Amino acid sequence: MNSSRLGFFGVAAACALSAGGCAGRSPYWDQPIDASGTPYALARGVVVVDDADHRAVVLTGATDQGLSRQALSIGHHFASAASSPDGSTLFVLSAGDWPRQSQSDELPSLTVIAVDGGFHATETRYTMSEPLANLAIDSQGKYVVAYQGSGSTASFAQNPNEVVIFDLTRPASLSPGSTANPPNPVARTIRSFGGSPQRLTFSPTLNLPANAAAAGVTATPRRLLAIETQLDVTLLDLDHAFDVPTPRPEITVRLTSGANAQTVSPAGLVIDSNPDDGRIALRTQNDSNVYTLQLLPSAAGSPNDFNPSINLTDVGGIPSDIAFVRTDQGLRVAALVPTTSAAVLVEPDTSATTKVALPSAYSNLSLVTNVVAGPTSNTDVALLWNTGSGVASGVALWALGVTVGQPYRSIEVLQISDAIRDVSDVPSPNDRLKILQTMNGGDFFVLDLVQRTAAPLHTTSAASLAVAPDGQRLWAFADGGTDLASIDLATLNPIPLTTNLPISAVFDVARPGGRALIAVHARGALGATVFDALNPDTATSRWIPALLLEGP
Amino acid sequence: MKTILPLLMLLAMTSSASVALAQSATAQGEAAPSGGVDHREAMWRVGMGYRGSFVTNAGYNPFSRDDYFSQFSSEATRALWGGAIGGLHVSFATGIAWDYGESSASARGDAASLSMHRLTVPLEGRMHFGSWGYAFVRLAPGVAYQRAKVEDASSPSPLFKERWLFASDASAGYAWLVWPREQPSETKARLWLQSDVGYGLVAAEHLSLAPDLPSSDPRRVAGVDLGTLAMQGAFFRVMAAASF
Repeated sequence: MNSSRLGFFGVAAACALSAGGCAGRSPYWDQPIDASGTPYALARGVVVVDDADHRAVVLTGATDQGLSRQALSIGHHFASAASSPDGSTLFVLSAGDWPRQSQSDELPSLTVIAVDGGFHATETRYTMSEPLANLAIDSQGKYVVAYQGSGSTASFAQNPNEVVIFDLTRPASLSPGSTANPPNPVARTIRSFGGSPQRLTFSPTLNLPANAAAAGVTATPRRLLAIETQLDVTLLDLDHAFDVPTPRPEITVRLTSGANAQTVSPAGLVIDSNPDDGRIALRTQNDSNVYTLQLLPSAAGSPNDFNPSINLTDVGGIPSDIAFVRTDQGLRVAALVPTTSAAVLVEPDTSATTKVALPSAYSNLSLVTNVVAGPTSNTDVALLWNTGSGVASGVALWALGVTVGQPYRSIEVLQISDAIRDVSDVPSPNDRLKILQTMNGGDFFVLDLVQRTAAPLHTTSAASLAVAPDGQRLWAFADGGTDLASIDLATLNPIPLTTNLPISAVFDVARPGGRALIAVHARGALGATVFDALNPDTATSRWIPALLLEGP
Repeated sequence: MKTILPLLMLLAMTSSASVALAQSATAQGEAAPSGGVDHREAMWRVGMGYRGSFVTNAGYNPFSRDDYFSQFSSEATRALWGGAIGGLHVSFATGIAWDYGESSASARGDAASLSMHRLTVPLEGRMHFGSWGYAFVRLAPGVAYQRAKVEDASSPSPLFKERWLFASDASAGYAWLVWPREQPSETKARLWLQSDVGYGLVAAEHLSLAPDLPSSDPRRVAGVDLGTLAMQGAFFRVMAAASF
């Protein structure tokens, strides 16, 4: 018996004597923590992706400024994540162990993490056949779509036109499925004329086809997925995307004619919220036309029961933003054209236009009808502002009830002393307010749409802002600094706070019996300082170090 | 320190105890010391050496990459009783033993370290084989002082926890008389080599590490939960000893 055998038997004997045997060190401890990734906000917690350990750690607030940790398994090789609009769910996309080299290697997957009313986190996993990099989230919570977009995965050969559609109301089901149990998710490769998906938009519920009664057919409610590529737009009927054995094919609307080499690239689309109209409007990056589509009944024998009817309307310049608006003359598509300092109202059926001169070259538009005119108003009010130009042009309220007769009286300007960088919404009950961040970074304004006031607030250094989801307060912090302030949106009274470590992000989340403000410190094993969000005070805050370091 | 005092008192009592060892303990085939004491059995003995422990408890993982804990080991014992039972020469010895070891590793990128003092009272039964030495079994109750520390950049100071815990060893081994092997009745220094294997036990401890901040620090800082650590498992020990 040689010495190596003796050593082996020695260790084996020692292991046999040791409780639990020679388990070895868990690989968990060998995975260094990358604290630089941005955590994700949910309504009742914050999710930190710990990709090295293939887990997501859900941090939920506890009493006395404590934090509870719940670790959930996610797929290997994190790709991206996105929260649902209501903050109840986080969707985590993973590339898996790709390419797979053994049966134990993981497939690409989507992990759905939900935090319920009892602050208990759960996970649901859906697997995919190919890794994809990006997610599009349905605001109604029924669908999630994975697509490649501008991201990249480790896959050698990729199909950028593949989209994978998940129905979150059903459990995972393997393809090909059956009529009673359709597959979930389904992968679709959209027809391409050279482009690949760049932006995905979920429609509200539409009764399609539009004008069904006139055509003697029956309209049925369904959801659409509008996919913008670099060259065209594709419409996919989500309610029939899971049909077995043959789902309905998508409809591609080509924007670039084959007559010349000029390409037209979509830059954003909007869908009319009227469920019976079935209208979509589209602007492009390099064309002065606004494209309007109406989804009318299709010819008999067509696999889809609707077909888009297309109108092009020249608005005199490349539009920077568009929206469907209700005016005193009916439904219009409003297009902002900064190069002419004008807005153009497009009648979607006839392409008739009404040009409205604006006092400045506004580039962005948002409807604020419910706040300014009330929910019963028949005409819309839009908030206009300009970002990125560096020009202090303030904001304007555009009343669309007097657009045709006296359009010059329809604009009301609120001057702001600095150029606007960003405009943030404030949730109800303070949805009459907007937060305007200025280009210099240290000044911001609280715009009251009802009072028509813009109250300035100032920070001594460039500040990042976060609006509390309950709409009651605004948090300002110096990115990479230790200064923090809570600003009550009712009184605009700032409460100065401080932390010991630089802040990388803040999250105002619900906790049992109140709300917590979690200020994250992206260093070491990730730290946080927790404040009582409703009564913030540095003296009662709690510093919690090494959040990702705990016994597995 | 209060915990150590009884042990020191026990050692003092041991040193003053009258030894009632067999006067004619001989190994089979060897000449008995003529009217004297066999100092290969009735002896003071001090030793030091190496102790290696195999700790497979998951709580040890942050502090070690290989489930192994190296320690310096030392002891001082005194044979208190000896005699013949069934033709075999046996004796009983007790004393005090001290082991010290530390281990460090990277725990998810953080520097983590663990140190442990183990202070025990060995209760040792010996079966003598004359100039060949003796075999022994040992039970060693005592205490362990355990200190765990993790350094993380998100903490105001290193996170640590230290505590006294109950500890005990059970082992069996053999002590070989190296030199001199003759003149057992002569009081002279003798050199021994010994080895034993056994199982060591330290009470489980919940590793709730907290930053080491002065009590006057107004900041409220939470700790880190690294789970439960139980420093228990098989061990071996090799030691050189001198007897008198």
